[in-house]
Amino acid sequence: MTADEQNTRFSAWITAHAAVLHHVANGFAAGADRADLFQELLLAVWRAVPRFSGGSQVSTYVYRVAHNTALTWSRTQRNYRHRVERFEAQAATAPGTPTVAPAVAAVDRTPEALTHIYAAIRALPPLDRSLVLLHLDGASYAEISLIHGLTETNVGARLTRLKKKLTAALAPITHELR
Amino acid sequence: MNFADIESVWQSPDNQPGPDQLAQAHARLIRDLRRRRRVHLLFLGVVLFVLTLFTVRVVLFAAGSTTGSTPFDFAHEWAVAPLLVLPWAGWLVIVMLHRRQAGRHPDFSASVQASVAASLDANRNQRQRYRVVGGLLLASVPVLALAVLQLQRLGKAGPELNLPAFVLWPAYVGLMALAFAVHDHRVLRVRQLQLQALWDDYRVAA
Repeated sequence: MTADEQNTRFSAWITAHAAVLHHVANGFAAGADRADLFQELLLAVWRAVPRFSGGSQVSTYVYRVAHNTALTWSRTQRNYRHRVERFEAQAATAPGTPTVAPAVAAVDRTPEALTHIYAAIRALPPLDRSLVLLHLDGASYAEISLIHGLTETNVGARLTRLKKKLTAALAPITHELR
Repeated sequence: MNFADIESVWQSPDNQPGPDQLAQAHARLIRDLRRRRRVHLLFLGVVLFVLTLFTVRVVLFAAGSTTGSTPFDFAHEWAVAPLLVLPWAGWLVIVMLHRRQAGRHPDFSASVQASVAASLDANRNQRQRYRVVGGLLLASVPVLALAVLQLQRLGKAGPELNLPAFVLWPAYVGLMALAFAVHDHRVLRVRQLQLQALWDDYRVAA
């Protein structure tokens, strides 16, 4: 595969699966770590392009690469990111920073709900996190079992338990968000 | 909030990446790839250059070409041989460890579980590499000292080698060993525990 072919295919893949990468980055990292993980995900997909043999659907392949990267990702440059977070926090409170009008915030609570959902997902153990994210992104049990090397029964049983766990974790904020 | 509500929020436009996010990340990726490639090439180049230079210098020195003295006398200068062999032995061990790992996980991309197993093995390999390289570095301290003493005894080297051989090199090796130990304890061991926990989670029945 030539470098041009790799770049073309990579651009097509990340455009088509940008949402999946965004969900994985947010589901596995918070704060300034998200940008770093997103970067790692892109790098992993770019490296994986030449290895794609066509044996599975591109979406399944991208899921596998992204979740594998997120599960085995470890934080580096922690001090650097702490500095970035501190800077972002200061910038957010600096005079002249645009703020959301209270009336608008009261109408649309989706971003707030999403924040809570991601926080609940991040509180799960890594493998459970990955299973929930795949399920929410519409991957079938068969696809998830293929991606993780688990049996479909195992995936089904784990997801049944995880749905209950996630719903229970979000129950206290339901009233606030409705 | 039931699970259907969660799915509904999940599919909202708010849960999509911003138009700039992808473009910025893409541009950053290109910069990162170029930087990583440069660093990798530089590392390989420096290692090869130093190893080759070291080998040539030692061979010439032992042969007496640089000093104009007598040719290499194995019976009295044998310590030069292990000194020459040590770095190449380390390089060979590292290559063998890499090949063994690659052979153990030919299907590492088959599933995330297989990738986790391969990552765990790679982590163990890296820790083993540290032990091998650290051990060889430590072994080089007495071997270098012995080689210098032998050369001085034959008049092929003078007291100018005392400082590098008996002070600077042992100090460098000590620092390297300390750096390896700290990185192993603070980074590799922690990563091994994370990967092991993930691997154990795969083994647990639902």
